[in-house]
Amino acid sequence: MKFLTFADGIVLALGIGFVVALYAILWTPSGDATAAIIQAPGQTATVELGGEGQLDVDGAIGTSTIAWDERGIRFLSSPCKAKHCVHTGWLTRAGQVVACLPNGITIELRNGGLRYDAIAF
Amino acid sequence: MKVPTTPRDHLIANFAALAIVIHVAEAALPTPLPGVKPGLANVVTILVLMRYGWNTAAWVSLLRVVAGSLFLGTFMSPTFLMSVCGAASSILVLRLAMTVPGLGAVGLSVTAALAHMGGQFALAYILFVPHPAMFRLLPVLMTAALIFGTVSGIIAAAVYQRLPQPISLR
Repeated sequence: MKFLTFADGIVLALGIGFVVALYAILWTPSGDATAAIIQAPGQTATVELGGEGQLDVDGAIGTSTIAWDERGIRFLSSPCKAKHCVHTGWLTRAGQVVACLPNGITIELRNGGLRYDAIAF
Repeated sequence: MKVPTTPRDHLIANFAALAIVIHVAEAALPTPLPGVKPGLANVVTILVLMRYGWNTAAWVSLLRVVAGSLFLGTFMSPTFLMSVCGAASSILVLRLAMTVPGLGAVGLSVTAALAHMGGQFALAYILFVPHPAMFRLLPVLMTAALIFGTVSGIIAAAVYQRLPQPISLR
C-alpha cells in the first residue's frame, strides 16, 4: 500500500533539510574571535586581535591593564579587591565576556556581528 | 428556541467531537518538553481537509482547540493562546499547501506540523520568553514536529485509503 506520493517525498526531504539547517545555524559554536570590545565608564575601545598589545583603561576606582596576544585577551591587573577579572584568565572565543565590576570595565570578544553567541561559545 | 442546523453542521460537529476526544486523551501523556506532543488530533484535521475541503477543516480545527481547552481547563490561559496560534498557523499554511498538486496526507501533515510549531515558537518568543536562548530549543522542537508530523501523516494516509465515499454536503 502506498502512503507516500512523489510530492510528499519532496516535502519530507525539504523538511529534513530545514531541520538540519536549523541545527547547523543555531547549534554551532561561534569560533575564534577577531576583535575585542572594551567598555569603560564613558568610553569604548575596539581592539583587533592578531598581534600583541597592552592597554591601560581608566575605570571607576583606578586603572586596569588589559593585555592581548595570539592566545587571546585578559585582564593583566586591576585595582579591585577580589581580582575575579584577573583570575578569569584568557578569553579566546567569540561571545566570551569578562568584567571588572568594581572598576566598571568589560571586555567582550566578537567575531563579526553579534549573533546568539552568548549561549553558543 | 431551536437553531436550524444543516447536514454540514452535523458533519463538522461529529468530526470536531472526534478530534476533541483524541486531543483530550493525548493531554494525559507526559511530554519531555512543553509543546512537544504527538498531535494525533491533526489526523482528523488532515482527513477532513482531504475529503471535505479547507473550510470544513478550519471549523473542525477551531472547534477542537476551543472545546478541548474548555475540557482541559486551559481556556483563555497562555496555553490556550499557544494552542490557537499553532492551529491558526497550521490551517493557514494548509490553505496554501492544498494547492500543491499531488501532495498526499504525509506531505500535508508534515507541512502543517512544521507550521504549527513555527507559529507557536514565534508567539512564545515574542510574548513569553524573548531570550536568544530560545533559539537553541528551536531545532529540537522542529525535529519533534517533523517526526510527529510524519507519523500523523502516515496514520491519515492509512485511514484515508479505508474510507468509503465522502458524504455529499450539498
